[in-house]
Amino acid sequence: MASIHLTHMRSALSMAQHALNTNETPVGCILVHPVHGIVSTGQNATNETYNGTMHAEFIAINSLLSSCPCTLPKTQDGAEIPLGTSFKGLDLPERLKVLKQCSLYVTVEPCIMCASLLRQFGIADVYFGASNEKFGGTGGVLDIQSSNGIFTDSDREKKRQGKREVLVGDYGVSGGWLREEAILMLRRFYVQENGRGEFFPSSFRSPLMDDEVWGLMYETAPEPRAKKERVLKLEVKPLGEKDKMSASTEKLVVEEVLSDRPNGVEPTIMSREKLRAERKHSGGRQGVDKGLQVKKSRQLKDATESGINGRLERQQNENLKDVD
Amino acid sequence: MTDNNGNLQHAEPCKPTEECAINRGSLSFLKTKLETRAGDNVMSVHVTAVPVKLASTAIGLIRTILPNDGGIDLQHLRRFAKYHEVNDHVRSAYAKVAPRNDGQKVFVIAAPITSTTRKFLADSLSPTLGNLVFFSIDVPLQAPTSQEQAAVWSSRWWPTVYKKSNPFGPHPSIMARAEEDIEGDVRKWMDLAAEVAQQSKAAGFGEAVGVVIVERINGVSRPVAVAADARWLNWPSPGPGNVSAHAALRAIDMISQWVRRSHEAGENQNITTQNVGIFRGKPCLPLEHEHYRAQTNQTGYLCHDLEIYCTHEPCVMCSMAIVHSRFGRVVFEHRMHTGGLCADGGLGHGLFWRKELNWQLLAWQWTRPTSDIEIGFDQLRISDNKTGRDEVSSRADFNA
Repeated sequence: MASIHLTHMRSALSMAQHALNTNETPVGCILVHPVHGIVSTGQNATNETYNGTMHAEFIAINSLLSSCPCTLPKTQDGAEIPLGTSFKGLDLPERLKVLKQCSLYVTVEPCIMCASLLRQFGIADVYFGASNEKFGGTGGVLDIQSSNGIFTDSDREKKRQGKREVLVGDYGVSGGWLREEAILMLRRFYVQENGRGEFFPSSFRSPLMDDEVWGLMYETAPEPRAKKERVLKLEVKPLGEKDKMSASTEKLVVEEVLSDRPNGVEPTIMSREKLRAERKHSGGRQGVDKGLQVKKSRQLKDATESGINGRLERQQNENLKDVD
Repeated sequence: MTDNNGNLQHAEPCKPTEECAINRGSLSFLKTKLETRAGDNVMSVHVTAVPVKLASTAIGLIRTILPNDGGIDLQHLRRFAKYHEVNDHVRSAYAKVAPRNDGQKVFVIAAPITSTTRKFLADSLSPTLGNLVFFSIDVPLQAPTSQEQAAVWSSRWWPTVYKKSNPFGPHPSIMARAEEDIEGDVRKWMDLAAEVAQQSKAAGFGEAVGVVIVERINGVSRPVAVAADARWLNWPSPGPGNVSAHAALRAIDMISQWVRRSHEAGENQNITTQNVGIFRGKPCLPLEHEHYRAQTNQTGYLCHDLEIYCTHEPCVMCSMAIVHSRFGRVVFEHRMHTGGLCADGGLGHGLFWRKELNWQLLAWQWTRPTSDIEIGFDQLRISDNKTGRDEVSSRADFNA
C-alpha cells in the first residue's frame, strides 16, 4: 500500500519541480480519486498572480471543478502525468462529489488557510511530505483536520486519549512522505532566489518565498543570507533528530518511528493503512478507528514534528494544571 | 460613498458632536491567543518582612546578592507592601511563620522561588537586617494587560501594577494610535461592507457577508476593493457553496489584479475580465464595480498594510488568507463560531496575532451603535448587551 502513496507523492513532487522551473515556490500537489485516478494537479501560483492565497491546493481544486481542461504538467523526465479521463464529462455537482472522495498528495503540509479550504470542500484524506511548523494547518500549528482545530491547544490530553467525537468535515492526515525530497526542493528555490525579490522594499526581500519556505528553511538558515552566500545543503535531518533531549516516553516513539522507515515513510503510516483496511471490513467501527488514527498521528506528531515546542506546551499545560 | 447607504441608515437628525461619537459604534481590540492562555499564570516567590526603616537597605542587599532577580521579571509587582495592603492569604501565610503581628514591618518580595533558596536568603540578609522570617506566596507571573486586571490580581494575589504594556500582543500605544486612525471612519466602511452584503444576498449571489479593503495614506483613507460573498454565483446548492468565493478571498483577488497591473505596467495588460474557474475575483455587483480599481500608479506588495473591514468574522481560511496577504488591520462586526480571528471563545485560534505565524496584524470587533440595533439592522446578532457579547457567536450556519 505504501508504494502507491510514494508513486503519487512523486507526481506531486514533479509538480513542485515544475513550479521551481517557473520561479514559483516549489510546492506541488495532486488530487487522486479511487476510481478516476489522478483527477487534478496544482502548483503554487503566488508569484504569477501576485496573490498570496494562490497556493497549490487552490489551483488543484480549481482545476478539478472547472470544466476548462487543466494544463497538463510534465514529470521530471518529460512524461505527462496521466490524468484520469473518465470524469471529464461530469457537471459541477458531480465534480463536487468526486472531490469529496479524493485524497490530496501535497509536497508540503497544507497551510492553515488550505487546511480550512480542504475541510470546507470536504476532502477525504491528505498525504503530505514536509511538515510546516510556521503555519501548517494539519499538525504544524493547528489541527484543522479534526474538529476544525479547536482541540489543538486546549485539550491535548483528551485528544491523545482519543476521546473526541469525529465531526463532519474531519479528514485523515498522514505526513512525512518523501519529506527529504520536498525539503530539498524548497532549498533549491531558496538558493536560486525568488526572481521577483528585487521589486520589493528591502524588508520584503523574497517575500513570497518567506511565506512558503521560511518555516522549512530555518533548520539551515535562521537569517536570510545574501544570495551568493547561499549554498544548497543536501543533508536533511531525519525526523525526530531535534528531539534528542525529549522525555523518555517520546524517545520510545521516535525510535519506533525511526526503526522501520523505508524512504522517509513512518511505520505509523503503514499501521494507518492497516486501520483503514480494518475499517473497510467492519463498517460500524469507524468512530473507534478514527479515534485510534488520531491518537496515532498525535503520538507521531508529538514525537517528531513539534519536539521542543510540544514539550514546552506540555510544561505549560502542567503549569496551568498546577494553578487550577 | 455613504450616499449609497440610504437603505441602511435610518433618517437621523443632525446631532451634537458628543452623540455623533457614540454613533460611530465602539471598537474593542481582540484578545490574543497568548493573552487568553496566559490567564492567571502565577509563580511562587519568597516574601519576608523587614522593618520599614530598613526597606531600602533590604532591597539594595537583595539586588546585590541576586542581580535581576535571577532573570525573572518582577517589574509588574510592587516590591514592598504594607500589612494593610495585602490580602488575607498573604497575611495568614505570614501569621504561620511570625506569630506576633508587627505593624512596624513591611513585606518585601525577596526573590522568585526558582532563583534561590530560603536558606541562602536568610544567610545573606540576616547579618544586616536582623532575624528574618520567610514565607512563600503566589504572585502573577506576567504583567497585567489592563488596569482592571491589575486591580483583580492585586486583591487576589499581591499588589500589581499596570504599566501600559502587553507581553501577549501589540503594545497598547500602538493599538491606541491605530484606533485613533480608524475610529473616525470605521462606521463608514462597515456600512459599505454591510451594503454590498445586502446587494449580494438580494441578487442571490451569496450570503449577506461583505468586506471593504481600505488604503490609508497620510491619514487619508479610500476604499480600494469592495466585495461580497458570492458562494452561490453559478454554484449548486445545497452544500457549503463555492468556498473560494468568500468575500475576503474575492477582495484579496481584486487587489492582486490591481497590484499585478502596477507591476506589469506596459507589459501584459490584457488580464481577463471574466472569472476563471471557481475564482470569483471579478466585480459583479454595482458597489463592487464602483470601487474596483482597474488602474493604479503605485506598485504594491500583496495587501501589505491595508485595512479590511468585514461584516462577519472571517472563517479560518479567510483569516489565514488575511495573514498571508499581510494586511495591517482587520475589523469585523459579528463573531462567528467558525471564525479564525478570535482567541477567546469559538474555535479560539486567534490567527491575527500568534507568535508561530510570520505575520501579525491588529484586529478589532466593532459594535454598531445601539440606535441601529433597535431597528433590527443586524439580524444575526443574538445578544446586544455588551457583557454578553464575548460569549455569543453568530449561530448563522455558514463560514464567513
